[in-house]
Amino acid sequence: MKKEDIAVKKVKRIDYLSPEYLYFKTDDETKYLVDGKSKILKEQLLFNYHNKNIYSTVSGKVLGLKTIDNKNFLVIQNDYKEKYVDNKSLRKKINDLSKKDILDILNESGAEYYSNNIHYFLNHFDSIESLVLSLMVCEDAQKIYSNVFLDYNSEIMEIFDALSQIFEIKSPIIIISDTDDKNIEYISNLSGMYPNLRIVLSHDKYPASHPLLISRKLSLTNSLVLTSMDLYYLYSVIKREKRVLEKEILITGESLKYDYLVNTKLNVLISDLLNVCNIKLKKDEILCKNSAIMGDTINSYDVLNTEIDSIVIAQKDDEKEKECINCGLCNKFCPQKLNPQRYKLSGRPYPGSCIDCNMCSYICPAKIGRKR
Amino acid sequence: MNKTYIFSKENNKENLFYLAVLPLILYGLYKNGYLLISNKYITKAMLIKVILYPLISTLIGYIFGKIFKKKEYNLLTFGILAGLTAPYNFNIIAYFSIVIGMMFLVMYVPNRLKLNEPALLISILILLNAIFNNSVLFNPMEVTSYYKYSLFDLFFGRGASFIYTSSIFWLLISYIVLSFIKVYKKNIFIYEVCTFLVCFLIYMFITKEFSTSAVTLFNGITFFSFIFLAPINEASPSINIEIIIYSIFNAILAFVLIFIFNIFTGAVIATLISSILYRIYDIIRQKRLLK
Repeated sequence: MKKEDIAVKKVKRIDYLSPEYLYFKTDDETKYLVDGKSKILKEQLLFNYHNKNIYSTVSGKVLGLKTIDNKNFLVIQNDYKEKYVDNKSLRKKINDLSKKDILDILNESGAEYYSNNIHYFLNHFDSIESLVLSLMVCEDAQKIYSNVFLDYNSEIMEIFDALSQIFEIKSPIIIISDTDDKNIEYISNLSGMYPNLRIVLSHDKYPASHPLLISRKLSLTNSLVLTSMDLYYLYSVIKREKRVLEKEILITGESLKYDYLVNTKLNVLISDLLNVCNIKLKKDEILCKNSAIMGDTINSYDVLNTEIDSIVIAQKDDEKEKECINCGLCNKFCPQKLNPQRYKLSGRPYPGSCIDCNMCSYICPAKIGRKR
Repeated sequence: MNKTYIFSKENNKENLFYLAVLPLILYGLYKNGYLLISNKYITKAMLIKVILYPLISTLIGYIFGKIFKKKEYNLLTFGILAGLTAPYNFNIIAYFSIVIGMMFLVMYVPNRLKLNEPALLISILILLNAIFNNSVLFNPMEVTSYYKYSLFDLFFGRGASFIYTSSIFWLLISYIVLSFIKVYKKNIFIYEVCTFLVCFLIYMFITKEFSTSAVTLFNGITFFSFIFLAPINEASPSINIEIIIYSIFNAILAFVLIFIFNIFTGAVIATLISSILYRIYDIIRQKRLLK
């Protein structure tokens, strides 16, 4: 087992399951299914937003519409009673479900919008030949997947095993970073319970955790790569028959003394999350969604949804782009060998085979970036 | 620490470059300074001339860099490189005219030309030196000693410049240091040396000659061109297959030109030609991309 060459940051666990206010993004064209000041229950359908059904994450009272940072939100005040619209018990056996049952359940619950991987799953439902659970941690922000697996390993393994049986996958695979000793220890003890399970240890150099690169590494075709978070969502929807209303999220950053693992309701403001963790953003800091290297930024007035697994507090990079020095680092580090320099200089769009890892921009000494 | 933080601001490539050149400078001071003083070829006063070229050239590079503030090209580094490659017995006025002229060339020639300016500078110096200075490229001790290229030339180097005519041993140390610079194209040197070695073996096989003259093909001047001049970023390819082709072509051309001209000019002119051909190819390719 490799030893960590630097001290691992401590993780502070925080529960934020009782926020006072929740925010649901809307626009002028939204048709609401609830009135202002009306009482609502948990998982009650509120409105449809761009073909996506939006459900309440708490029971409480509708306060009305509010504009924050030029965005409209429907605000709900929590009554802390957690009353559900429909109290369902756990489904006893999910292995007995058919593929069609799974598809119906996922479509009905709106799980398609939970993550890109689940979206891919539903779009390639009939062609899946292999199943991979990815516990790869290629950067600090991805530690959330390791933590979610630590916290919910029995639930995740249950749904993983069920999907393997339903889709008749002979040898499901778990791919895990070779430095994640806690999860490796747990998984290595699973061989008795899941004899067909194949465990693969892998280096964790970014962007090795990308589903396409994992499939290529394992020489798989028509594979479905899911993270522990994806399987947690699927467990909630399929086993518990509940929509995902709470989740764990990791807040990390080089300037933070600790990493914060927050168990929180969805649809809280990011700024409220930061306040709960006593994090104050400095002027030269920005918030990145899911990856500091990918560079997708979010605002503190954005709302937490299922697509945000971690928040990285990063330094703003105000350095201007310089002229290309023809060093070839972007070519060297591109996992798809696309010659990014050619596209940057010509201004042509990147081809479809680009996996959008943003490695070319991250590594560029002249700071030539696709995304800033 | 973010384990994916590959490119760091702390990795200051300029400091590593100076560190790479330092052993060559120190060895140059020893070869062209201490050895000559201790064997009484020059006086201590004449030692000033030895260090004059690098000092003034560096100063010109520093001043130009501050005045014109051309961040795309490090004029200070260029000045140091220029000063350290010139043989100190070169005509001083001619030398600094060339250096200043080159600096203006670097600053004001349109960027898309991107010539290999150090290779061009050295080629001009060597050429003018051959025309006006009767090719006197050796220091006084080397001129007066019974002179025959031998295997020891590989290690001691011959010539009156600091880094251009240095020992292969120190040049390899410099290469190792330079290879820590992320933007340095270290593969170019590997391919060049392998190709050069193959050419040399073929030459030996054909001529059946393993005389010391054949051994002189491996000399510090060629290695300097391979290590410092050929991998200059803007004038060399960045895609792996193009790097291989460029390196092989450069090495073969260097081998041929060493026979046509001499060991002092062959490799550097080969690098200049290879860079120009690559630039022409790159310009044509970019024009096609933009269509």
